Amino acid sequence: MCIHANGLGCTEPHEGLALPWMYGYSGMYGSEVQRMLATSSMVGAATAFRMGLGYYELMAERWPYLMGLATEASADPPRGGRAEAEFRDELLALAHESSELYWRELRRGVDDLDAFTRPEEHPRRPPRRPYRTKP
Amino acid sequence: MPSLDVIAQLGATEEIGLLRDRIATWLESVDEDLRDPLAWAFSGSPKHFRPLTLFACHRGVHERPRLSEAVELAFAVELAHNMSLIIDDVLDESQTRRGLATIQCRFGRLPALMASGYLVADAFDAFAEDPFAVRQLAELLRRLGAAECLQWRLRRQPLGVEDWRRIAGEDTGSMFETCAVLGARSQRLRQYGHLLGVLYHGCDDVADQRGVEALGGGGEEDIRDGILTLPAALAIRDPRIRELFGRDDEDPRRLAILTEACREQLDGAESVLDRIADSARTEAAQFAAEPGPLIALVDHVRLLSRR
Repeated sequence: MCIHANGLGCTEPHEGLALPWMYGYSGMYGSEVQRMLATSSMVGAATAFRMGLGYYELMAERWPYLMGLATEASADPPRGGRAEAEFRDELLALAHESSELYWRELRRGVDDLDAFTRPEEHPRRPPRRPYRTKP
Repeated sequence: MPSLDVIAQLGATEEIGLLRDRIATWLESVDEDLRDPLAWAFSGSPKHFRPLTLFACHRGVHERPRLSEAVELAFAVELAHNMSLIIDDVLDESQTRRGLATIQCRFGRLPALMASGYLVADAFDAFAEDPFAVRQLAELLRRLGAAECLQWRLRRQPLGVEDWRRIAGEDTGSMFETCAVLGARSQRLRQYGHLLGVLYHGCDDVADQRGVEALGGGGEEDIRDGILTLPAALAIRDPRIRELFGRDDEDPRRLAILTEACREQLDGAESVLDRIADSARTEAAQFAAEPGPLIALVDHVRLLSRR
């Protein structure tokens, strides 16, 4: 039995404004929800992995230089003063790029979740309204 | 000015042609008293980087681009951009712009200020039926106003590259962000637009320091006024230069030392710009269905500092 938009049910097989094809309902709400939950877990894990990997790469690239600057900053001026200013710039750049990386990966995760859980679009028949004759 | 090759490479020949036609038609309809100053504002050799960004983002997201809609949005952006140039020239008391006398030099301060107001009014008028675009334009004007004050407030301060990024992001970055948001009609490419704007601002700073006039020149004035450009942000890491940068005088010896110190930082500035360009390319690759024109635009803007 299908359910019409007006809430009434009917047993005749026909195409119309019925919920199943409007929402891509597979006939088993539970299994679809489970699939979406599983997908979101996978996407979440992949996003967290990419964020971690990206952060690791960023740190591996920047950390040694940053530590070198920290050591140099303890030297006498003007070398120490210059290294101190550069250290601040590099530290802020690292924080900035980390936040950019996280933000980008989170948006990518949302995009992936949207793409993997989007219902398939079924070809629709042209809209047809049945004749109604008032008594 | 981007060559015709670049416009063709970005696939925007038709759009830029239509945009120029739209501006020409609009100029015929403006009030007689302001027609000459307004026509003057659009003469010279406009670079059209903002419309190119808008068109590239439009095509980067939409499978079937709507040409007339994109041209109308780019038209309004060009009006807003030219308004900001007029205000800049009035504040800086600039003599030339794009190789021609500025509006206030040619027509006077009153017509220049009134023309800028006229441009804003017509930019909003072009969006009259489009609340989404109205909100974006309103946000842009608020940010531009605040950015100008921020840049002036932070003059001669011992700041760094990340502070420069903040200023560049609110000044030029906000305009390119708006182009990206309007072109894509979503927030999807906002960060791309932001990075492209910061890149453009940085290339402008470096080109000024190299003495390149293609982007407007002005390197010496920036040093004299204590504006935090990208080479200056790198140069003032040296405590001696920082101290000189903080002074407020026109001592030619001081200015010569600062100019030389900024010139020495050009390679470092190019490295910072390379990193920003890489981030912009990554954004384009991840969030545009058709990233080709967006990446080509980044590549082209990146070259501006070396010309």
